[in-house]
Amino acid sequence: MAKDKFALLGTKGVFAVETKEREGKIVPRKVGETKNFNLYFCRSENFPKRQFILKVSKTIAENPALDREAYILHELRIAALRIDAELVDSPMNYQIGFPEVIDSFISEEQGERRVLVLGFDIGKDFKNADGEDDLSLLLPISRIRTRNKERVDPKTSAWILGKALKFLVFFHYLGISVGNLSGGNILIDKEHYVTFFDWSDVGLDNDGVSSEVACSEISRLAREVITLLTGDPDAEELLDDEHLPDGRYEKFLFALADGKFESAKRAHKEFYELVENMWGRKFHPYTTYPL
Amino acid sequence: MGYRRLTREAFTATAEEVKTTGRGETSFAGIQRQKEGKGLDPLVDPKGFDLIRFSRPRYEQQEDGSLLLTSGVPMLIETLADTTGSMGGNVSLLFEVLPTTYNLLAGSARAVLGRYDTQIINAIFGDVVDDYVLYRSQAEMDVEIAKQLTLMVPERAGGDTTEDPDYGIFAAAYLTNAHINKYGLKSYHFLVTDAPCRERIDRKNLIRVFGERVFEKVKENGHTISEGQLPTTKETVRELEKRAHTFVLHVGGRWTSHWSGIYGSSHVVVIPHVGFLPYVQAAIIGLTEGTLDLQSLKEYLISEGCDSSNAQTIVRAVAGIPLATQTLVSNYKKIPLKGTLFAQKGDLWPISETGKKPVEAKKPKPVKEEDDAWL
Repeated sequence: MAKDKFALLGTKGVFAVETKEREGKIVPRKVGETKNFNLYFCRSENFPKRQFILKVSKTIAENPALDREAYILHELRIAALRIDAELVDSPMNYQIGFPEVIDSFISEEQGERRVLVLGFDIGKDFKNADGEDDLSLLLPISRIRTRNKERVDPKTSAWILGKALKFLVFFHYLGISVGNLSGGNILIDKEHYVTFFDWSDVGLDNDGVSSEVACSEISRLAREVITLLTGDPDAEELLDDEHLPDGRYEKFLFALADGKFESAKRAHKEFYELVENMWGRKFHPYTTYPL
Repeated sequence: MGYRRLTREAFTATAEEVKTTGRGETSFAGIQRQKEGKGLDPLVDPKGFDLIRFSRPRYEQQEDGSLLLTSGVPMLIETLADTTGSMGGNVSLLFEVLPTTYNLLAGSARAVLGRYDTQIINAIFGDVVDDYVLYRSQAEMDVEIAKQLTLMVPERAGGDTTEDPDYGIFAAAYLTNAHINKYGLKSYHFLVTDAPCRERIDRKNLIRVFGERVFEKVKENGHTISEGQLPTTKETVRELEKRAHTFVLHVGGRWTSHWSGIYGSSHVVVIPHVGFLPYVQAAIIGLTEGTLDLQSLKEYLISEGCDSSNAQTIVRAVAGIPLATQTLVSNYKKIPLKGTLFAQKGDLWPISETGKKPVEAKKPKPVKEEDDAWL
């Protein structure tokens, strides 16, 4: 791949930012931004068929946050792979819950700003017809309502919440809090596997994740899921749904949102006890209804 | 004086003195003074040398009258170490690891403070029930760092669970005058302890440690405190962190919540053993100065002689601290380097190449977003 003006030289090769045409000019295809970072799709000849997200700090003042993010993601991946190496027959696949750092470097040509190149292991269902990654198929759950104008069914919400809680158990066990638990940071693929995208606000605690932080992260996660069901976490209201024959599921969701759980492990355990009791433990296809 | 640094030869000579004259006791010079009823040596007595510890630039006068900055702008590093109970070996340990510490900060090719004139204060604390609550050295840059450690006598006892670093923190906050602060940059202060503190500063003990002139000297040093209502330890830490990057290196981690409540959790670094000190300090300083980053830290520590497993532990321990905060100061990239000429003492900025007028360094041009090639 020839180096062009939208290609950055990293330590693992050249990463070419995908472009589009706008008003007769070729411009980089930005997929998102925050106050501190810009996000682009990119590819590299060194990684055939893979697509990555290139995350660039907007100024050098944000470089340290990306440095810490890259370090944490690396540590999470080591821990996840180590666990699976010990559990060969029943892997936990924690590594799908966060991005893989493909490369991290300071780009001189971009004003010494730090660049992260992020890949995803999530599911297998974000490939296009040629078997290439298509990360545009990853969907922030907040967009289910705001862009797709849909709501998820209760079983889909349970699938998403269960997976997210499983990852919180893993992160908190390692003394790491996600920080950003907004619906824009929780991505799902077509099989509604979950991954947490942005780690620039990650928390690390020498004393382990405190019960206050754990409680807050569980609560914020639950509130996002209640919102997915077009419920109101403050009013503790959910729309009636035929798949909710009694009030147990709503009650549990509101307890999570209300800060009644100070441990992700306990929340995860009790959540699955309830869900298996209500619906059994089996795959449920991603199901939505129009708003 | 202008060029002196801590050398391995000079340290070895002092270590030999500890071995022979002191019969292996690092604190031999201080013990001898106490046997003779002389009390603390003024060099390490918090009352000594008019209380305030100065960290000043070093110059060499040139033939034309200008002053050459011989060793860079001074950067002050203070370590306040617990010497109660199981921490009683800390004077010996600070002495033993000094060559490694100095090398990591100022000596090696990748020294984290390579551009500065590294100046070190060592202080030790005990308990208010002990004979001496605090020893505090001068800001030194050569073998005096080692020599003043031999004047410090650890209490080893400690009256109860809580200990009294509070007076050492007070000294760092109110009785320190570091030239680096004039540029808006901060010095470094490390508290090393395995115990909690009392969280208050008592007037009687304050006067006992620093003498009757303490309030006068605090004021002379540019600070205002109420004699009637002394600051709490937490308030003192808030004051200190205006001028220093402050960290608790908490040995064992038993009192992490206590220290997090005073310093903030991102400023408490738990270490398994005091032997980690030189590498932990270098890691924290390098990450704060932006001369190291988290992703390359382990490789750096190993390259500087740290055991691989310990390096891993250290990286994890420091991964939560604020990163590169020194680099956010506007003068960070502008501070004068060694060899710079000044018109007179006290000038912050060097004389221009064409004249004698002090000039502030020009602001670097902001990087332009190169139209559509800028991501």
